[in-house]
This record gives sequence, structure tokens and C-alpha cells, in this order.
Amino acid sequence: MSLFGELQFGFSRAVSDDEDDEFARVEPNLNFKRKIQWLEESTEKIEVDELILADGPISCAFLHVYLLNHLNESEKKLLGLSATNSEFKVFQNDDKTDSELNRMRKNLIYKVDNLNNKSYLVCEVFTNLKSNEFYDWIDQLWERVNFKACTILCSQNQTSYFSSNRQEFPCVKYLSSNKEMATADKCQRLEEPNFLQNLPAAMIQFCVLKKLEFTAFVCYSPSINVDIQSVKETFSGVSGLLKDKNIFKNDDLSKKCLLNVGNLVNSVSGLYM
Amino acid sequence: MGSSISKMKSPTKVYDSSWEIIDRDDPKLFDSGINETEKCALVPDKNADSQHLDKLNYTVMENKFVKLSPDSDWSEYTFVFASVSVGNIGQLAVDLLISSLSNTQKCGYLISNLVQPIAGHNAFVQNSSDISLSCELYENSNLKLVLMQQRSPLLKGKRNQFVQILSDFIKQEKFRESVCLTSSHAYERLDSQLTGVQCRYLASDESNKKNFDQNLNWKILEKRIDHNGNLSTDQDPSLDFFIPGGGISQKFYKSSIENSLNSTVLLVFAHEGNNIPETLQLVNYFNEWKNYLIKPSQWRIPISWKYLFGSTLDSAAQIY
Repeated sequence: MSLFGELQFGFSRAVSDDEDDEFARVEPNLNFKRKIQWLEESTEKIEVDELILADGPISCAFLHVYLLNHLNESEKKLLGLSATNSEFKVFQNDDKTDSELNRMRKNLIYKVDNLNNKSYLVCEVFTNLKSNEFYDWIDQLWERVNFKACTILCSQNQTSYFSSNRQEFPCVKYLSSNKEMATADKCQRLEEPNFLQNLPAAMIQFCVLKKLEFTAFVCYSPSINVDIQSVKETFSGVSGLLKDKNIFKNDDLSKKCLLNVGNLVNSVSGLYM
Repeated sequence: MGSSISKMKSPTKVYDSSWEIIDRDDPKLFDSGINETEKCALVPDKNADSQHLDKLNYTVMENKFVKLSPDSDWSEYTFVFASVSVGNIGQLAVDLLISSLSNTQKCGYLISNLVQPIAGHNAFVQNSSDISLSCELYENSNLKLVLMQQRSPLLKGKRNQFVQILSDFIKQEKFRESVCLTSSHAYERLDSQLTGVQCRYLASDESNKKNFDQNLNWKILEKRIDHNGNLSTDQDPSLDFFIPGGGISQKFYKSSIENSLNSTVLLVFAHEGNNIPETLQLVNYFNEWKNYLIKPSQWRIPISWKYLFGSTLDSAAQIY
């Protein structure tokens, strides 16, 4: 019943009204798709050994604290960027100077050469892409970059984790194409029937299609915002599983940066509150 | 634009962080509108978005079925798939078929940009390292059966394309027949549907219709007034069959008739809720026809149904 007392039809959790679909106009905001702005035009594809994709604020904070913060300007090269909001576009200041806004509302793509004798493409996707953007984003990436393997970092709220075992949160689970991968204390396999969705799942589907190796880490967090504990737990899980392949550092610099992770996150998300 | 920004804060030089993401309509940022040609080095062309979209109508996701054994010959097979429908009954039914029919193995998948992506471990085998995706194919060579399980809904506005891909796949593989398992909103039932068996069929093939009517005593889905309140005329007979909440089943049936495919739609009326009973009704209905299992009690609940209604309550948790 609505407020006016008339009877309203129930709705299904599985389907929207069939009769609307054929004639439905796609909502205007779904017409906007995030475009990756590459800083240099190139006809040749960039080759890297591995793609690191961080989806969501916890993963992006993790990437910043334990990897990007340790790399100086010569070690990481900014290749491209996209808006954190699909309705925004990319411009460049004439005088190429920085401002507070420059640190806001951007998802950055870096190329990192010669880390553990491998080259990496590091992609931040701070705010989750909309459903009509996942595959489009992957298309844009693949058009420009070749990678042979993929590490995916993402997070979900603990309420979406299903298990009959008692579980402490935050916790990290993994899903990998490597069937021989051994579990670690702080990183167990993602048990059935839990699953990944959105961009991480789209990237996994892409890796399966292209027969690329992948490992996806998902942090189940009790917090609806980014919290230090979830970022730390992500590090414990990732480093524990990757072992000697781990490129993420935990030192005094990381600890210092970790304490400021709230500011980092709020600087990006504050305008959308 | 640069001068407007500097009113907010003194800029400091950083190595190359001069790229900004700007909302041109944001009054907080600009006192006046941007002169795009003067200020901005990278301004998307007015037509750039549409060009960009056109270019990406080609997608690396390919939108085609991938067979694990490319040489598999599925001509003369039956193709069964679920329509994402009310109560997810079609999908639950396909889950039951896959887990209950022995020697049913994964044989392919569909990587598509039309379906919401999901990824997890194998939905039917505990502690497996195999990956499950949104749309997967399973084969039972003994029964000459291929099943498609779809674990997530279609993206909005993609039904027509998806039905086209399905129809093309069925034609390409030369399936002898295809069966769509679905459900329909119980609150949309006609008076004649309120009592009795809650399952109905639609069949494009006359011999199947005859079998259903005469041997199995099944009921064909009744004609009805459509959602606009019109009793359809002979202009488009397929509009006679209205499956509210049935997902793509109605479109698929219409497409089958247009493409002369041998297709059957089996549906059960259902409300949202615990839909396991309706699922068992539907698979038993299907089994009456195909006789895949001798006894209905042989249906095996898959592990993917664990936590269908959420995790179990922690008995140690203090709720109050």
C-alpha cells in the first residue's frame, strides 16, 4: 500500500517489469561512461608483466600505503587517469601546476618498471564503476596495454560473507587461477558460495577469456568507510599469500602513511558526501 | 580555468599532477564558464563520446560461447537454460539438474558484456579450485543434454541482444530442441490459473504440443489480456502469451518462432520467497517429459544453495 491507500503490485528481486524493458530508455546517467585519459598517444601497445587493479577505497588506500608511497617520481610513471565520477571530464591546467583539486577525484594509472625484476601497470579505481562501465573500462585498458598476469584487490562489507564458521573481521580471502596456490594463515581461499562481483569479477572473466593468470584478494570489512584495520589486514593477507613474490612494503614509511589514510580517503570522497 | 582554481588555493608544483577532473557545471569551482578552446589542452570533441562508444561496440569480451572442447558435436542435443525470473526459479531448477544428473560436467562458458559479472569457486564441488563465472555450460553426454546456468541478471536494456546471442548459438550448434525454464508472477494469474497444477508450457513445435496435450495432460499457457489491457488480435499471435516476471522467456519464445527453432518454455507461477518448493515443482514437471530421473527424491541439493537465505545465526551472538 502506498501512502494514499491504493494497492501496488509487488516487485521481484530477480526481474524488473518486463513490459518496460523493451521500451525503456537508459537512464541518462548510464549514458556517461568513464573514459581513461592516456597522457601520451601511442600506436603501439605498452607491454607489462602484471596488472595490479585496486577496486574501491580500501584497496586504493592499501596500494597507496604499501606500494605507491615508496616509489619516487622516477620509479613510477603516470600513464593515464580517469574521473572518479563518470559525469566528469578531464582537463589540464595550462600552467601544469598542482592544486588541492588535483589530488581529488582521479583514478590514476601508473607504470612501474623493474620492481622485483618485473614491470607493473598499477590501476586505481577509487569509486566503484557502474554496471555499464565495467567492460568498457577493460576494453579501453586492453586497447592500450598488454599484460600477462593480474592481481586484483577489492573489498566487500562483512555482511556479504556467508559461512558457517565463526569468522573474525576484517579478513582477507583469495580466488586464483593458480590451482596449486597454498593458503596462508591470514588469507584463506574464498569459500563457496561467496563470490566477487563488479569490476573485479569482470576482470576475472576477461583473464579467463584471454587465459591470463590472476589472483584476486577480497577484504571483508566491518566498516562502511575505509579503516586502518582493514588496510592492515589486506597487507597481512596479500603478503602472507604472495610470500617471496610480494612487492608491498611494510616499514616506518608505511606506518606513517597508514595513520593518514583517513585523510587520503576523505580528500577523494568528501565532495560526494 | 587555471586562474579560477588558484583562487581557491595557492598551487604547488608536483611532478605531473596537473591533470584535473572538473565538473564544468559546478558553481563552487568557477565564477564563470570555461572557455574550452583557450584553457583546456584536452577537451573531448563534442562527438568524441559517441565515437568512443561506436568504437567500443566492438568489445574484447566477444559475446560468444566458448566450448572447452571445440570439436564437441551438439547436434541432436537438448539445450536447457534458465531465464532469470521471479524467485530465481529457473536458475534454481538448472542448479538442481546439474547437481542431480550424474556425469554432468562443465563444458564451456559465455563471456559477455551483457551479463553482470560474478566470479567465485566451483558452485557444485566443495573446496574446488575451479572458477565459476556468470554464464556457464554443462554437458551430459549420456542424456545428450547441454545446460546453461546464468548466475547473475542481464544489464539493463540488454535483453534483445542476449536473446539474439542465444538464438544464434542454438542455430550454430544445431540443437535438436531448446527448453527455457522460467517462472511467472503468481499475482498476475488469471482466475483459471489460481487452482490446479501451477505449471504451464509454450511449445513452438507441433509434435511436442501434441505430446504435452494428449500424453502428459499438460496445460498450455492461457491467452490473456496483455499488460496494456488489450486482448491481442491476430496481428501478432505471440502477444497472446504473456509471462510477467519471466525474464527473457517471452522474447526468446517469440524469437524461436521467428527463427523456426524447436523451443519449449516451461514455467511455474510463484511469489517471491522461499522458492524451493516451486523449483521442485518445475523440475518434476520437466522430468515428467524427459524422464531423466526415475524418482523425484533423487534430486540432489547443490552446495550453491547453502546460505540461500543468509548465514546461519551465530548462537553465541547476543542479539538483545
